[in-house]
Amino acid sequence: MSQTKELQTKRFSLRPITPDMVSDNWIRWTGDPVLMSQMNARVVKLSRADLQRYVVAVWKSKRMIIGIYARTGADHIGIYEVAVDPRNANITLDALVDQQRYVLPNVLAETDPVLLRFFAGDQRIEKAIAQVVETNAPLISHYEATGWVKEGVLRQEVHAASGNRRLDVVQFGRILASEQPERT
Amino acid sequence: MAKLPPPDFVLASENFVIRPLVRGDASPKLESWIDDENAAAMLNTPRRSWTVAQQEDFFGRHEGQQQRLILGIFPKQAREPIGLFIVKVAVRDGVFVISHLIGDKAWRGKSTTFEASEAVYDYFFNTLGYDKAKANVRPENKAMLWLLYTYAWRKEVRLIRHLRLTGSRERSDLVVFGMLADEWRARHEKLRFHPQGKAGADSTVRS
Repeated sequence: MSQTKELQTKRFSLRPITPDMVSDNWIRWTGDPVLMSQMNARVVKLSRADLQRYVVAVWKSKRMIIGIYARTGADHIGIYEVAVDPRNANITLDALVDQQRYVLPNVLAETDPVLLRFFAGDQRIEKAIAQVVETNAPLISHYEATGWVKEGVLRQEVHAASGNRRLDVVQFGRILASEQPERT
Repeated sequence: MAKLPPPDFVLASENFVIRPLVRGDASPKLESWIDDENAAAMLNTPRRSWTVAQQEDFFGRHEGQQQRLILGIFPKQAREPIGLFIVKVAVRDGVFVISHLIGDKAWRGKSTTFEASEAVYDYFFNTLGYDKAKANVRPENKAMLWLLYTYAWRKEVRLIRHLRLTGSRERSDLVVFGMLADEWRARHEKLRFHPQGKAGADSTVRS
């Protein structure tokens, strides 16, 4: 996805995030204990400069970081991070939604199909993958409810951000042939 | 907390020495190693004769690497390896992914993997502090599946149509197995290698 491409749904727009687009909302999310706990991340409120450096690092590592914005008012409400595996034509998605103000499945049920169609069409990606840590119950429920295949559970796959224990990761997959737009 | 392996180290079991391969380990004796489907699939390369120049390039690219290691399996006193391990480490999560190939067909079916892998697991779990090992296997690789199902591994995930194959461009499933350090330490007695002679009383490590 180039850094200028924009995708739109009925209520949201998806735009690649560049360092100058780091929002106050995103800074706030890094200090949100509920959100960070779900993501298995430490609650350390980052500065704008920290996040700008992070955005630069993501794009340099051939991953993409895509913002979810309300079409009305352009409020920043979430993030997709996408890692591309060109050899196998796979992408791995991670998603964050500001759940203090929005219902995660309501947002992603609208934005996922548009994003997947983009990758299946323009980028010829054949499979999408999501690896969700067990603490992120809303995201697990979303994938279970929207046609993703639960491929299994990676037992004790990651360290917990807090406490001395390890967490499972639930692996989902979705073949994208059906997401491709009709070709004429 | 897990540690990265050093750029160079040597492991030893009763009958084998295991160490990172270097450019100078390339040899005409290894040319037939990837001339079968499973071996080629393991290196994700077409089935072919593996020339000395290609070996030199492959080993050379991994020399000194600490996150993706190519470990040769050498019979004691031998100059050429008879097989290799590929180990990828995710140090932050304390997880390593391992695969292996016994390239010299004369050494297959002789507990070579059983003995050599024990030294590798011991090193990564007990010396470097990793918490989990993983292995990725294509479903058609029955020999490898048998090895994993009969050891302390557990099937965790079947990744549907996950790989795009190098030759045909068709897609293939991939099965992911996991083995926790504590599961390996608690493995059944019959899954432990018992040295036969005095020389192999213990696995040893020299960094």
